[in-house]
Amino acid sequence: MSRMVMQDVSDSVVSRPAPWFSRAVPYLPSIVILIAAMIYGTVSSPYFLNFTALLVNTGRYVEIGLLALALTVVIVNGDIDLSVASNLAVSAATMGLMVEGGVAVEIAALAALAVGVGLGAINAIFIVGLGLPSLVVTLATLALYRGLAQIMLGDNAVTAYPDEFVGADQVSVLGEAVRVPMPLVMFLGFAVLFSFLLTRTNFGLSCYLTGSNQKAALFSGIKTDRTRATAFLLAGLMAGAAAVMLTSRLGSTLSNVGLGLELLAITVVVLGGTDIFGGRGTILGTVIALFAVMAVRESLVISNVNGQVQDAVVGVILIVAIVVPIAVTRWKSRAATRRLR
Amino acid sequence: MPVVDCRGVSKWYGTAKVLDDVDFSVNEGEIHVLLGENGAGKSTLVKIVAGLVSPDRGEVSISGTELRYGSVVAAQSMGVALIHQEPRLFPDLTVMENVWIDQRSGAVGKQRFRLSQMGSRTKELLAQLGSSVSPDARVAFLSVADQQMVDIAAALRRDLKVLIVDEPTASLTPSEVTNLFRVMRDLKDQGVAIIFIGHRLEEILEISDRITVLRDGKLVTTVNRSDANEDELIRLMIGRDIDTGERRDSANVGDVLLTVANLSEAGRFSDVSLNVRQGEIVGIGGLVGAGRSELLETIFGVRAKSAGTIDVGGADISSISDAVSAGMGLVPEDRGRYGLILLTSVLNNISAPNLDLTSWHDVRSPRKELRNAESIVSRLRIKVSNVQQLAGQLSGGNQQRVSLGKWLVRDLEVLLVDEPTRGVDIGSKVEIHALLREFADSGKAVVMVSSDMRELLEVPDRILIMREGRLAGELSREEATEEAVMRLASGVAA
Repeated sequence: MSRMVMQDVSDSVVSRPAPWFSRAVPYLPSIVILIAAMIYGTVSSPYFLNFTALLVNTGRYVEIGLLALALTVVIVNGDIDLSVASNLAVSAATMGLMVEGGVAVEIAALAALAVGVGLGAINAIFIVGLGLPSLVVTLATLALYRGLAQIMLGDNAVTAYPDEFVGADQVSVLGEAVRVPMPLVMFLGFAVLFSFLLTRTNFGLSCYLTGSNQKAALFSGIKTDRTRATAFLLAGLMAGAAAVMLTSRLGSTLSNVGLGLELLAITVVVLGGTDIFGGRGTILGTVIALFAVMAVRESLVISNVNGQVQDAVVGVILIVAIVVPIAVTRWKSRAATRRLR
Repeated sequence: MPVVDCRGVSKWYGTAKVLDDVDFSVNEGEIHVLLGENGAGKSTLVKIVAGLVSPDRGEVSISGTELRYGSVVAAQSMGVALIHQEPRLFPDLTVMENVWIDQRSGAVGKQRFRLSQMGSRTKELLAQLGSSVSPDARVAFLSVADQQMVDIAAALRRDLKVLIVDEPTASLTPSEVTNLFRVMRDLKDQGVAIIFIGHRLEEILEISDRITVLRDGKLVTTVNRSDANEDELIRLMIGRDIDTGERRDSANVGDVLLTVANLSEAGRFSDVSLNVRQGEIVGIGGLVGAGRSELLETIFGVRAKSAGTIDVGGADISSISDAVSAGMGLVPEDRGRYGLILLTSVLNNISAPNLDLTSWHDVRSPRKELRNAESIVSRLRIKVSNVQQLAGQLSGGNQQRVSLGKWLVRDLEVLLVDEPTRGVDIGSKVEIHALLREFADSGKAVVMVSSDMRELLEVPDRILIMREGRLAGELSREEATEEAVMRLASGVAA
């Protein structure tokens, strides 16, 4: 039935390239939310619209952003990775224990990245190798990796980091005049890299095709297994990178580091227009959505809204972000069928 | 008065007329066989009788009461039961729960049954069918034959008047077939009207009282068994007037490109050997379920083989990557699910198998991809507004051209096509046939599975016939007639 409708549409409606505003539709929810939050923040506090302060605050969202970049790739593939924040904790714990044991911080940071990739590989083995659903596997490793971090660190906080490592978010790239925090620049660098990966490489196209119809992609000679496994390795790598970034910002490591960040990261990805069922999504959308979530959080903080209400607001935003695009699509296809009658 | 009475039944699917003014009746205590080629309209007709599909014209009455459409329950309450080839039961429920599935409250008419009564009644029904299956057994663990019996028991529970069995013997062993026929005769003696769809002519002549032959949605004739013989039935099924295809000269064949030796996939097909030469189109015919699509998919490396070897130009094939790098391409039967990614652009669909040609160290070249796609679109005259259009928005014929065209970008050696013109307009059909011939003539090989008899006779240079997972025979272009194909496909000796 739905396919017949689609075929019919081809003759009458879709005979010219999509106009710019229809291509912008996936970004609309996050753009609207970004603008609304900025307005709300500006109205509720005279201190909100301070460019320097806003820039400095981005440092606190960069870890979420790094996870969201990799999760965009995973979700475009039609999979999910709930274990990224727990992976981050194990990577951070590894780094902390090594630094405490006297290993140079650079080596420890590389080890954190390696552990991140390794834990991503474990996910990939279960999901791609054994053909288990990613939701179930990463739900299990979400608990497993967090427990591992607790076993490694117990109740101790690692604080033995050298001074030159701590406080990357305080370092400004353009000097004191315009405070552009280094983590923000790194995040944008990674964003450009991931965008290139998704739009300009064979791997990227393989992700979209696999997420759109895994069977048909396989029949077209796409190496769907390799593509999905690579995405989980990337998610692990970014969990390791986020661990290093977060450790530098906080200057200490606890076993509960990054608790719950996976949900914020998934929120950002979905808000950015990535289809939770796979096949569609862009890095640009994820980046805009990260800033939208940041604007919402910061504007609520500055107007003294308490934490629980903040969470509820983010939940409402997510529902709106998912419902609106679906409603628009349905409305458009109904309109198209009406036109045929 | 007949139990089942169809008067002037017609049905269209889209623009295709699958049933054309069919008058069909079944009497009490009669086994009536529906016979016809794939796509003749048999299944549609029985679905209409069972209330699953509503006719566009005409009416159906059961025991003199007109059947109302919109709910399966209407036909069910009139005593009609349809047994599918693969019984549609709930695998995780027990036999008893399946038999009483529509009686959750335990109320049957004005009577109330308790669980123990339901259990013993189930046992009774199964015993009546000569089945010793326990009412407490989980259906998932039963054989297909046992599942059919459970399905029939459920129908018997509801005062059965009309039993429809759609190709029930395809997945049964000979002794299971014997038992099914015994059950059918018992039911017939109790006055049940039975409609039986089958392909194996010797079976049909054994079990039937009357035989109705359908061809291209039209009722050809209804004959009594005593007046029927195999040759006559085959002639009626295929129709004399169809077999008029032009014959071209046999192709200039060259070296062997594809060698398949003793290939098997457990439970699907076994011990298939064939080779295909340069310049050759080899057709594979047979009935639905004979294992033809599975064979193609195994050759392409999609399915795992359980035995045998596949060789293309010296390379051993055991995965899709092997197949693609050795120069094979597969155009699957179901283009909407496997052949194309409907929700992405024509451009991406064409690029998908050819990324190795258009990229530099895995970095894509949009310019080369666009050039490839546009050259295929113009070469195959694919009607698109631009290559960015979603594949799902194209018509069936154009979708099929994309599904085929994406492989023609490459320097293929062997093209595997499964039902290359199913659901395609007549213009596209002719062009696709010409394209396959042109491809073969350029020194390549084509293996084509087809259920379209005219296509099978006209396009290939020779035809292999599969029956029940085995190669039943080979026909050269000169030997190939519809009759010869049907004989091999249905297992009737010449």
